[in-house]
Amino acid sequence: MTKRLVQGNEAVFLGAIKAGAGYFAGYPISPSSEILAQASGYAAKHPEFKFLQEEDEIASANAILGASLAGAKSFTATSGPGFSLMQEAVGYGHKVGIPAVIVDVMRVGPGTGMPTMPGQGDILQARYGSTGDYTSFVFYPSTVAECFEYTIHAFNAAEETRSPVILLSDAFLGHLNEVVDLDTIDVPVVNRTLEPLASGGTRLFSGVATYPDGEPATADSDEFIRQYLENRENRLKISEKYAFYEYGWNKDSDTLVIAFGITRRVAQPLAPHFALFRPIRLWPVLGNELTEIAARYKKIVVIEGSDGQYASVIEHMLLRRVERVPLLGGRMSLEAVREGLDRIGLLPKESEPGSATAADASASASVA
Amino acid sequence: MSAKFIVIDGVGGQGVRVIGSTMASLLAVMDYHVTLLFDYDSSVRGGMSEAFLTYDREPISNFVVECADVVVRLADRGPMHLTTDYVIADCDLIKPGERGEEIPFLQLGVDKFGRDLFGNMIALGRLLCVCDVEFTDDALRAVLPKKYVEENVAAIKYGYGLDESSIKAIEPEQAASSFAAKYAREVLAGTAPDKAVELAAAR
Repeated sequence: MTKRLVQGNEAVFLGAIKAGAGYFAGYPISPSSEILAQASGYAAKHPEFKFLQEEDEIASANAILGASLAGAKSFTATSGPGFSLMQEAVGYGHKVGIPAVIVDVMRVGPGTGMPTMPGQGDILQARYGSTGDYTSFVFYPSTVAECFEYTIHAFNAAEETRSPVILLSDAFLGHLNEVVDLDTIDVPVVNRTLEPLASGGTRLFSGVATYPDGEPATADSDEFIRQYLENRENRLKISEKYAFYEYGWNKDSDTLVIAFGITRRVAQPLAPHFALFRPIRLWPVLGNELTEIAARYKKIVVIEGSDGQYASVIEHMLLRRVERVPLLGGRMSLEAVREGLDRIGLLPKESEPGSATAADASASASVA
Repeated sequence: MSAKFIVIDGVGGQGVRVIGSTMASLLAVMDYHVTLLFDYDSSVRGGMSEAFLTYDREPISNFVVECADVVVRLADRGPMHLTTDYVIADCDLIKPGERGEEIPFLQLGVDKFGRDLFGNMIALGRLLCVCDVEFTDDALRAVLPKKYVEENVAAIKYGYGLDESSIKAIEPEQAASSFAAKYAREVLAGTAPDKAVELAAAR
């Protein structure tokens, strides 16, 4: 492959194929539908890849879990309203331990909301959407190349954690075309970790609490807690391998901007004025990295496409005040960022309005 | 060069995607860094359809265009909070105070190439000219849709060759805004998109 224009949603699909995905089930919903369309077209030419258009998102999520139990690396793609419908399956996947990837191309909610406008309102849903306690892995790229790259990481993390992993995107990133050469992106692929059903032995996948021998443990708190803590520790240990973030811009500034996905892109022209921390792995929160970096700055401001979902998380984690610049109603733009910064008294006087290129930034950023 | 910011403004079915994709692919072939973002309303047929195209010799970070160098306006459904230096518009679409030109693209498509849809390529040619993009026929052929390649090349070159005096000499017969209104009305009435384009373009 050479350099060519690739759409964000297409890059996600190609990343899934690169990661070894063999099954897609989904229900079309803007702005994720191109992923479903790609999967459909690919399946028509590659009989080894299975595609199913389901009747809804509940069926889609359960189908990919079933396919995963049967041995296939599987995934689905949806947007906020569909993701809400998938949450029961997410919890089930966590409890039983089923690798799968759910792509959520976020739009403005709640409800049907603004179907084609970009939002970031599923940050907490991606972590806490299902019932009970579980340890979610959530990645959020911000370029088309990263859509490809972090889809592979999402599949890898799903295999290692044996859980549904969430890949977040948004309407703008999903519909953005950039010139990329995906062949230059080399991410080692983690092989299937789960033996398929019918390969011998007994496998319980009812979703209820059980002892290791399969007997119900539905009234044994100690056993439940033991398993939960073991699971949590295991997943947090695995998360150390997936500590992806970007730290850069003007590190000498006294203000740290936290932005991710689309908001990081639109805020780029402010690079000379602020330091940037961009979590690519949103969950588990990059606690150690963020604590260490945040300590260097007098002020912290989170720019995000929700009314402070991630800001609240950061504030709670750091136990210090975090300023908020919410970009609502799909208005993801530098102008909206500047208005938000102005409202909280953090707008740099000398920065000029308008778009800018990466080359305009005086400080480069590095991805860890 | 510094980055160029282009916005193509129209309604679904008018060719915003074709113009945006063709120009972006052409620039990519010419080794530019390019970002192309499609934004559209949930009512795709007859609803707002925008393309935000940025190109540069440097990598592009912010791809959301708020201050465009050039807007191509095929219908006035444009994004809010957008300013522009220059507008290339179909007839009756330049707003008071804007600097730009009005060209009856659809009409030219029919008059010069037999189909209104070639108006899109004429608009693309004019856009390439205004942006000073110099291209080769080979580069163009490589990125055009596979149908009607030669006709499209000819239409793009026709648009590229338009100048102030030739634009002034064109007598517009129908404004694009009335096309957009007719098109939307047809689609809402249940007419198939292809047929709706035909009916809307009929004088």
